Amino acid sequence: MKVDEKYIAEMSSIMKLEFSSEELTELTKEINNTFSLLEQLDEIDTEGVEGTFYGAVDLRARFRPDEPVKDEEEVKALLDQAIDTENNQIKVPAILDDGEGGA
Amino acid sequence: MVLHKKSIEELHDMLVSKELTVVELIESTFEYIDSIEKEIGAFISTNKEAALEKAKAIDERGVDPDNVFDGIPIAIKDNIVMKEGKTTAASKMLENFSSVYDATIVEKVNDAGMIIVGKNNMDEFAMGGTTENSYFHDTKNPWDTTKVPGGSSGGSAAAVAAGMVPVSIGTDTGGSVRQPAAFNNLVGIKPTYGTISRYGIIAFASSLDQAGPLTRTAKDNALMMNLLSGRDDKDNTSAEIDIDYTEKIGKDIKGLKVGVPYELFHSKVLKEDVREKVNQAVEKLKELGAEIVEINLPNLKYSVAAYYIIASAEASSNLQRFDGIRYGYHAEDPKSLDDLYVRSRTEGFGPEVRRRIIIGSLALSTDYYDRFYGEATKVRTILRNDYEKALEQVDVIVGPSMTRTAPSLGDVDEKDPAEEYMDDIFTVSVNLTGVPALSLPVGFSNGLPVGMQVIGNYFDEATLYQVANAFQEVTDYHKQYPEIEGGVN
Repeated sequence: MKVDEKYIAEMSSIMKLEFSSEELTELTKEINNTFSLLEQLDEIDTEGVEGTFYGAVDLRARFRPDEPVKDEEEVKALLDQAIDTENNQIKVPAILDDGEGGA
Repeated sequence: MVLHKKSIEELHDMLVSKELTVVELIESTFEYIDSIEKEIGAFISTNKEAALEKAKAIDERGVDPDNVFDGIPIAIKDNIVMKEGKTTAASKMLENFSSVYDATIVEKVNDAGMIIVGKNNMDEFAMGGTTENSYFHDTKNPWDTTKVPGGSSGGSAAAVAAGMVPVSIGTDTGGSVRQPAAFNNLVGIKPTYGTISRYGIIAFASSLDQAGPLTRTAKDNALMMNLLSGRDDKDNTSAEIDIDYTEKIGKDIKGLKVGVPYELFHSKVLKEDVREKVNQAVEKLKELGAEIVEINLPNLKYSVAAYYIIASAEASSNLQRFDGIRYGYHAEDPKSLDDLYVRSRTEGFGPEVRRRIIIGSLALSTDYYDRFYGEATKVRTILRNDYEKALEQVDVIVGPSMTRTAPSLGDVDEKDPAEEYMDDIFTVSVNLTGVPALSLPVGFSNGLPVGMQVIGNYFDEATLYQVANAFQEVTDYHKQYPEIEGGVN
């Protein structure tokens, strides 16, 4: 099984990553090589086996009170990390390329 | 005074008897770090000022003779968040990131009076096995500075091996504590999943990630586990446990059943020098009265493929939070929201991280879900059944921690990633199944340390420490130290 550059480019765009055409060629080659390792799984009989999706041996939902933290210093420190802020909110660039209809 | 070879317990005794003040200990720690850090590169950042301030405060109130951790220096891997200083995960993405809260691990270490001296270098977002994927710099193996320290907790291991600190904390998603422990002559543990709270550990693969301490002795390691383990309401996967990890330390291992998996010792990728040292260690366990039982882990060879699919799939999802908006690296002058996302992530993540995001998203895509991710979760169940069956027959399982000793810096760059991933064949199945495993020093080959892995049943770390301690009582590998240029011996 092989994937082509077009497929990887499509996947990259979904994952919000960009690769130059040289990088894309190299990455596609590497991924195809990795596939040969991953395809080992075709050998093992998993008929009727349930998947394991979690790490915990004893997975139980436990509840705790949902209490808001009202620490102004913490809010300030959090907002300080953001790209831009206005009135205690995070401000993001316009959604449309031409800048219209944005924040 | 030579302090950099002392264990936690030895330093504690010196502090209690007032042979040493905490300030003197911390000053000496930084003096030593300053003398060799240029050669080793174990840290991304250090906290001298805050550390000395805390040391002074402990001296003023007096060292608590009943608290072995009081005033003891420690280093923390830089993917564990801390209010003090920066937390970078060795990524450009978080180069200037300051956390607004402390990880539960950090809280516990601080509350116990330990003094965090700095944050250790690592592979970016814990992805890698050499620490060469760090955005900042390489870390050198103190045993031979032309070699890698392993990874991803390479800085944490190098810091302890070089004697900068008696203990550090790393994280282990597929071997990232045990492998550097093996490469650096240390005891390093990946506890049972759920033992240590993951709150404040920057997530790589949430169903596999566990933190674990790196120390020279099994006893120090067990002491640290007493401090770090336990239920935390902020991590819903943390287990309700109350275990004394030191309880079997000092007990002999007569009659203990030690499983030797055929597949681990006869693997084609295992190097002969490592096999020989681990076989000698098994002989030693036999001399100590253990009963050696040959067992099988028949599906071990599928663990690497299953691991890379699951780990990359979870990583691709976890790393979507880095969007250039709320925190972390923001691209300059974005033309649109999409442009901000794409450029922040493309410029902020290194090549290995980007590769794993793509592999992970591929494994989860509708085209490949059944074949890759779905199949890998089933193989995970099969591996779990294999381990549970094996651990019904024996008390612990032993084998080599790694296929070889530490490779040279730059070696891995020349290898194909798929080939490189096979190096982890002995460690990844433990993360997939959730059982605990530690690596302990069992000898040297051409001056480089060899580690043996001891795997146990869920929440039975105490037996792992029993075995490791019994071995360390009759061997002196863990008492050997590297000679470092510029260091004081």
